[in-house]
Amino acid sequence: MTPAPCRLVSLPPVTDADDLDLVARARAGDRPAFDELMRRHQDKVFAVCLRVMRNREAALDATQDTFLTVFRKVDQFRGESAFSTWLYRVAMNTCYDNLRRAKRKAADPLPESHDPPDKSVEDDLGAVELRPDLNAALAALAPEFRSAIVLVDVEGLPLAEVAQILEVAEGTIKSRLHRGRKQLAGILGNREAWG
Amino acid sequence: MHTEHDLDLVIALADGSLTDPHPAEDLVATCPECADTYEAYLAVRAAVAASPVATMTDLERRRLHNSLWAEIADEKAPAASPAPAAAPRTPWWYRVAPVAAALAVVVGVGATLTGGDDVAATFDTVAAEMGRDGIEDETGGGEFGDEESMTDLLAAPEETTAADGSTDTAVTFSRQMPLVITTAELEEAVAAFEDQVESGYQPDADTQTCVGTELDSEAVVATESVTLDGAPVLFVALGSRTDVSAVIVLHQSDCTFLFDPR
Repeated sequence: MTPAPCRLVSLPPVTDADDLDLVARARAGDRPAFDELMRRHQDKVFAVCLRVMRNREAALDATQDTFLTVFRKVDQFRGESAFSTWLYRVAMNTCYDNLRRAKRKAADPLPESHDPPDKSVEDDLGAVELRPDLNAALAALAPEFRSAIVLVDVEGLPLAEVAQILEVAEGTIKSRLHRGRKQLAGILGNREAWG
Repeated sequence: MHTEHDLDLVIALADGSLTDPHPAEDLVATCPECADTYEAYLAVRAAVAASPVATMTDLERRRLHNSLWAEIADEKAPAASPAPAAAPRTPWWYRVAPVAAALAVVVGVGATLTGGDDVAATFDTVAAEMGRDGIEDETGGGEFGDEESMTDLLAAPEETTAADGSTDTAVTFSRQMPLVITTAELEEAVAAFEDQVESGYQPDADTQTCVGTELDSEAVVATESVTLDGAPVLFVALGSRTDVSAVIVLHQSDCTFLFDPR
């Protein structure tokens, strides 16, 4: 039996709709609307995930997990914040969940038989599109400082939005930025600042 | 002693957003902590500016979309039949492989013990035993009993009715293609890719990458980016979505043919 052609190919005119329209349509099961939401935000989500995860393949997985969560829980988005704010919150939570899971997995003993190391994974750190200094320095920060710096300084999001994403007060974000930047600058050795 | 205003002023100085920078410059010049803050912020800004924007490649975007919808389809498909609650990410052959290996070992031992005269009987016994008990996968979700055979996995897409009454096609595949493979798994992956395309899974086709004199863009019906032994390769299905004439595999780095059955 020949399967029916995949419906994902057709794309109704959703490109002019705003995010909230698309969310409403996605809730009603409109896949092209969800696809459009994804197209709009996928690069930003990936960029944040890459900075947090420090591994391209892991960042791609986290991006996929983020949109999978959004697809499953789009009904829970109440529209009290911008869709992008809610999406970033899901992305940050997903990244840290995945990091925790990876850490637990790394602590587990290896199975008796496992695939040989994947060279692509080994190369990921080298392939991450961040200057190595910044990459390593970000990784050395505590997660709360890293999140604040990635969202504000790297992604350029406003303080108020980052406070909503991380579900803390704006003053807390300021404090984390202040401390995080000092640590980061110390790690970077201020080379770029005055070079 | 510093106030929040002081630090905001220093940051604004570093951002270059002050119309009159002199008070902030005086602050930085006279207050070591303000100078520290100023320098730290400049260092972070410089490091960020020096790092290129992280972005996905077109192939990664396509892979993201394909994988996401495949996972959603996997979740939807079992809803109409008694099957796992959560779709495992590993392909079916990966989950079945340990069982097949165990089966082979048991048959081999059986053959040795019986002097090789009763291999078929041993195999039948083991198969019947496993069929009765079912084979549970490592996620604890999937179960292949003798009543739910591989033919069930080869089922055509199931139609479900959405809340608005429209029907929705949940795409299922007889085989799910792995995205990270070794050379030994290449032929299996090629067959799985062909199967996926003919099942209507691939929503897109890259007609830019590696399309030249040897690869006619009009013949490309679907593509998939795969990591083979650590290197990126491109699976390209030719023909039509309902009848794939060939699947070829190219190195993404130089577009040389790695696998071409034509």
